[in-house]
Amino acid sequence: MSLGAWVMLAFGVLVLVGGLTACLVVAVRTDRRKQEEGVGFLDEGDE
Amino acid sequence: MAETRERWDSRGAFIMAAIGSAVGLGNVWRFPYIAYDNGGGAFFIPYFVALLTAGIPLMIVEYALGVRFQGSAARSFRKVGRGWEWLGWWALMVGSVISFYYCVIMAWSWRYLYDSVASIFTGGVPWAGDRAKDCFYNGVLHLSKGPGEVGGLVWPIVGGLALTWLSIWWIIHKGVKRVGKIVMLTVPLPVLILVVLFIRGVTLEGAASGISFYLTPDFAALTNPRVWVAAYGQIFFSLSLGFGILIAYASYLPKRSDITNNAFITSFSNCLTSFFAGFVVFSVLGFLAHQKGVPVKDVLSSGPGLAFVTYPTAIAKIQMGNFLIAVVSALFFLMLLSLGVDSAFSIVEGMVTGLHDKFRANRGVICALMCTFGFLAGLVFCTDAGLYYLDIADNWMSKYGLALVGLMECIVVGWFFGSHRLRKLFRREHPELAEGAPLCGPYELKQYVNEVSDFRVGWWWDLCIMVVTPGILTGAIVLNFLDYLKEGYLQGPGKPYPTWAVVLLGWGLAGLVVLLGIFFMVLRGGRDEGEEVAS
Repeated sequence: MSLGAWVMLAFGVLVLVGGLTACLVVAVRTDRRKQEEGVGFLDEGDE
Repeated sequence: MAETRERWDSRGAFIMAAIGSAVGLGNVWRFPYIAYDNGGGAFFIPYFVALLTAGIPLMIVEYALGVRFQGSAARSFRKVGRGWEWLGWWALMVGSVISFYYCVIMAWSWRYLYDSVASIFTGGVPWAGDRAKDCFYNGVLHLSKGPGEVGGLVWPIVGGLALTWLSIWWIIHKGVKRVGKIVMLTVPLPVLILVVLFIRGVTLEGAASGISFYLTPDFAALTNPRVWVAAYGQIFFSLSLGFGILIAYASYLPKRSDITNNAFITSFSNCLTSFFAGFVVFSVLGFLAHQKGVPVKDVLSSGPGLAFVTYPTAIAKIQMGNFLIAVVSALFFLMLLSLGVDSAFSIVEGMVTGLHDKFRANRGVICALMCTFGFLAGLVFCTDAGLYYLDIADNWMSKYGLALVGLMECIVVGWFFGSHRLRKLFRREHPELAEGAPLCGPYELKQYVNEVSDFRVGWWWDLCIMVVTPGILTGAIVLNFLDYLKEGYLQGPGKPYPTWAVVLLGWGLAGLVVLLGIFFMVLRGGRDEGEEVAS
């Protein structure tokens, strides 16, 4: 494969895998914090 | 007493369902070809720009409408402004028409899955030895010479269609709790099969040349506006935007659920699947080109041609014995089915939610009626001329129907959202947020999104919804229309479809869904408890 192909492969992996991982980490942390505060998924605003 | 809305079991169930809806056949059979055709690896640059400036912002809009208004697309737009309900119905109608022919493609996959499994006992797949083209167009579809030769129904496809609609009915008739359980199987399964096919693909001779073909960038292509329109089109069509599905799915989330992070996770997962599918497809195309002794571009194809002709041909050429060829073929078509089924039932779910919210009728009855109607409507695509009808309907529904719905969503949310009635409703529920809020624009929705989400959206979101996305969608619609005026819609190279077919199944169907949207708006529905709050 050419250097350009390797660069685009790295670019795609970095953006997509990096982006998805970052979002999942934020989601897991937020959900864990909510659980610690005693707020379950179904308690989120169903007043 | 107000009816309690059904809820997803967990945030994960919602995200998986949304990913299942977004990831469909197009990720495997459309993205790799579009990427190759628009600059190879360089296409990823406009593709990611489109993801961040159109796909994710519009997905945030759809999630926000669903979570905020707790209703289908039609009900949500009715709450944005009474006169906009038709837009929600229009989105649902466009989606319904797409589901009618999408299920027929799944029926073809059932037929191929059956043939793959049967070949274990019959001694070889029927498309072996370069017979795939003949097998698909003549053996499976019984394709006639043109749209004027309707012919009869192709019964094996009718059987597959019945099986598809029965599956859809079984999955959705109990509500989103069952959907949440089913997607835990139907979302990871095709990804696992893609991994197996990837491992098999990259170990084949010639695979590296195919992958190199996919990734090698042609940066000069980035100066071509059509490449950018193709990137925005691919993002828009592959994220299930404009169908009203995501609004319906989000409406089953609690009212203060996250919006932005869910949109990012769904979008990134969808694009990662497309990106990965490119390696699966091009590794096998590289092998096929190597076997035939021709350049990779000579074996390229997309759409049904890739899934039902080129890819099966390549699998049948692998030196691994009839049993393993049958297994790999069966895995491939099982992947197509599992990719397609969650997209298909999500479209139907969008419509069922719309009808249930409007008429307050029994959900099981609505599901049964919708699935029966979908099956009957799909029969037209099971005739000898079905592929022609499918091709025309798909072109008009995606290039004009979905694009116009998306454009209108941006205009309504970006420029008209914030009516007096809505502001009153908003201030009554969240006085602390409405204090000092601007009087119009998407700002109120943005404040709501930021209040409930894991992270905030800023001015870039307003800019994308008000200017970038509508601008690009308008450009795409105009370019498509200019192309149509120049050469008509082509059945084959230099051969346009007959005018009657284009008028009836193209413009006629596109117009009919708008009229049906208005018709459903004026129909008197059941009691809507949301109206009491809004007035």
